[in-house]
Amino acid sequence: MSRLRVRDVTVRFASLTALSNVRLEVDAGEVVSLVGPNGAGKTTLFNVITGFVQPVAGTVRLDGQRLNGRGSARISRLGVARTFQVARPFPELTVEDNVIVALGRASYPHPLRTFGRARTPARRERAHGLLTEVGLPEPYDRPAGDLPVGHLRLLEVGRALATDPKVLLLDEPAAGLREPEVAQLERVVARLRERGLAVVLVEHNVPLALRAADRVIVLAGGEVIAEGTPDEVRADRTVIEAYLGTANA
Amino acid sequence: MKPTPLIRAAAALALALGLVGCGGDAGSGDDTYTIGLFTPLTGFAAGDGKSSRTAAKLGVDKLNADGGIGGKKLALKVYDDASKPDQAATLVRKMIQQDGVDVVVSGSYSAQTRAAAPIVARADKLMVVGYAVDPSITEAGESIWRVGELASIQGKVGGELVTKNLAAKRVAILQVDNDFGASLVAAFRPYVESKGAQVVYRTKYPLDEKDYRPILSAANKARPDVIYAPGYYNNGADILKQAKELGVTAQIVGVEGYDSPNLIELAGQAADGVIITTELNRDSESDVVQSFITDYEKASGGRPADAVAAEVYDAVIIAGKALDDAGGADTEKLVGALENLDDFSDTTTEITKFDAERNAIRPGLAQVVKNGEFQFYASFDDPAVIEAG
Amino acid sequence: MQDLVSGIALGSTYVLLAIGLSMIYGILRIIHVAHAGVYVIGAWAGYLVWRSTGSLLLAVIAGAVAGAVAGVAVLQLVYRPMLDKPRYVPLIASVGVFILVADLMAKPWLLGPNPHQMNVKPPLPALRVGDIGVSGTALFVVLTAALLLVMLWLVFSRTQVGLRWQAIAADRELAGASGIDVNRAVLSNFAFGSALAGAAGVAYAAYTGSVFATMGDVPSYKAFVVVVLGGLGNVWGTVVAGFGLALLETLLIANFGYLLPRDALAFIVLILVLMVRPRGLFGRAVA
Repeated sequence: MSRLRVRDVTVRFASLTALSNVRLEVDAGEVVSLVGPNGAGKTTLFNVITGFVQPVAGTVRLDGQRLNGRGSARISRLGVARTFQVARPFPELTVEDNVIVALGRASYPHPLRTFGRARTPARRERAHGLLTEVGLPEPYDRPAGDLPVGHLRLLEVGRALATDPKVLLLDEPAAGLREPEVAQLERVVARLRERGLAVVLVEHNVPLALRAADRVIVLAGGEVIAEGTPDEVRADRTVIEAYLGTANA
Repeated sequence: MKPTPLIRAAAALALALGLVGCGGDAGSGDDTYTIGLFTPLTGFAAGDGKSSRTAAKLGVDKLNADGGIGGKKLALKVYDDASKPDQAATLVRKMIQQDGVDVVVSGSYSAQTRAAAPIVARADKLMVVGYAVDPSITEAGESIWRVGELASIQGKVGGELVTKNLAAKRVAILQVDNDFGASLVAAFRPYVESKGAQVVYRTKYPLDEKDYRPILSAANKARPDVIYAPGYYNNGADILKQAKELGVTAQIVGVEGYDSPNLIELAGQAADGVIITTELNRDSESDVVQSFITDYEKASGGRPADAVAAEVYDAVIIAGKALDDAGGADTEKLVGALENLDDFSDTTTEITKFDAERNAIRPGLAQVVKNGEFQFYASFDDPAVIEAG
Repeated sequence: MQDLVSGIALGSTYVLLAIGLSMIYGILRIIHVAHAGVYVIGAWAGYLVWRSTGSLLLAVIAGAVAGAVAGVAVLQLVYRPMLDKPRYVPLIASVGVFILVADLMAKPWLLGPNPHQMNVKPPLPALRVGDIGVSGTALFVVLTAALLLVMLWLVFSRTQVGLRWQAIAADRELAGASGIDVNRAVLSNFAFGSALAGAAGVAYAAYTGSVFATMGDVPSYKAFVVVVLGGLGNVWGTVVAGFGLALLETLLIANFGYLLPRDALAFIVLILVLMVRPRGLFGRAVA
């Protein structure tokens, strides 16, 4: 059984159909890239999976458990984490606190002790470990709002990982990154795959999207127009016409 | 003919709606005179309203127990003016036009009474005013009479108290910012200045102020011997408490508005030592005063009598005397009876006469709070002080 | 100098009330007018406890507990169903709740229409240095406020829930997506902020010596002036603005008398400050 299974999801905003009968399956240890032109519905699909948007039809399941209809905090705690297209830090919290506040249940074993200390040595160590893993350089005690855009993206990934996810949804993580940071990001994604995470990658950098993925799904106008290995998709004529053709021109 | 069910239902409805007159109700029936009292039973002045109602009932009961008015009974109807002038105006219209009240009694503040007075005067009814101090009230017409002490007199009594009994040279004035405060200070200030005292600080405070520390400390800096602070009991209680807290040593002098058990309840020990000008002499040797104090406390469930109660009681007594002497409710005769009235021995505020402007004259009185009780402090007989002009 | 002391004592009550409002605005973006109703309920509960025990400390605790309960009730019963509606919907509901509380409190079986005395026996000895006096009650009010502010600061900056409040205030949606139980954090925020309002009600009642049903009327808008002056939702700006306004009122009245009604002053300061700094004294620039 797939780890994440999206079945026939349809989303309408007023009269506009944003997604139409979209299917998506991701296994543990698999990276799926979601590509398509602007307005294809990629971010909308992320919003459906994370509970920000309710579909008019279809289901989203994690390990067989239904996600749609639940709140976003619940979905996050069940194991789905995401980053955002426009990096969204908690700007006044420090870099470290941005991660600590998102740490999963395992780091807060006593749910009723909400008035307990936030920055225990164990949590700080975990946060520093995650930040190092995503390649964000120190210092971690400055406000997140002061970070440059590239570092904000890395922080987003770190914060998403803090929730101990089974599924990670990355929304254009490479946008605004410089070459060495993109390479770092690729290494991080590869490591997460090895660790058994299911990763969905929305990416405009098509070479990166194809390089990092096990499978690729192409969305256009809210519909899946192609699906397959990176090589298959690269060869697909419909895809070239709809999207890759223009992107590679 | 047997009444049909329909007629019976209509009759029941009419009864329920009060369309059918009934015995105890108002209306100058052949055997009853009715006094209509308006007073604030709700709103910020509700405490004074309750005192007024209890006192008025006591007055009516007393007159009835003494044989009524020329063989007729006296009835009382109480109206709640909610501490609002427009409400008072509406109520007196209703009293006169619909409820057939014979004499109106004001148990309310200056603003409400001032709104009611011209309406009563135009309708040519008699109104006896309890404790409202504004001078213009009795100017509304020949049929408006006042038991309470005019602000212009009480201010002079306060001035005499401050300059003579307390021998103050430096006086600070903190006055409530309304007619009551303004008319008292208008009389007090020239009086103390004419006696050689100096007003070293003066300010007005809003009626609903709770924090007097800034003005008390400013007043204190001017090193006054006396702080004259006209206002009501809730103002007075806060002023006394906060002055004590700030270590103010000047003698605080209040006015009739302080004369309430509420002052002592609210201020607690801080009330001790305050001196006020007022009308009810609790230490009077008069039997009338002493039995009023006893009866009132019984009627009110243990709440001691205050100046408001005494004045409203007297207003009812005066109204009863007028009805008795006039032998009916004809307003011209009632006014004539009051003009000729010379026996005030059964009043609790020890009235000596009415002056030409229909305001009661009595010796000035100061009381002091000692051990949580109002006690006699001084009285003032000098006509230059206790009469208008 | 005496006026400085008086201003600080008065300011303590302003700050306690306004800071809860600022916290709640920060986390829910609701103009919580009913906060002043919570303040009255706190004062009432504190008054009842003071009357039966004579202890101001117990009264403040009772006020805080009653405030927390009342605040959470308003959140759960009134705001919760309308959090997704435009912001004016909870605002209108909030005004309604405030009026309801004031009217209920004026019923004779609650506070009734008349003020009640609350002349507490000062729980601390009075201080007197030269010409300057501080009553034990004023001292208690200032120390209580200081203690609660330090506690609040610790909760905000050190604890798990404080960090969550900050995260939710910054981005509620993101906080949810990061696994934070927003509903629970909002609940504790409301409980805490409302407890401060309840304590403020008791503190003000003890400081002025009386409790009455309409005592929330002026604070209902003055607390907003303080919150806006401090930079909407900026908790520490609110502290400075609260003390600043109380000191200004006290010093102006002491030196110039009532040139203007006391409560108009708050709005004049607000208008002047907003002309120069549209986001309040300590508001952040738009990101």
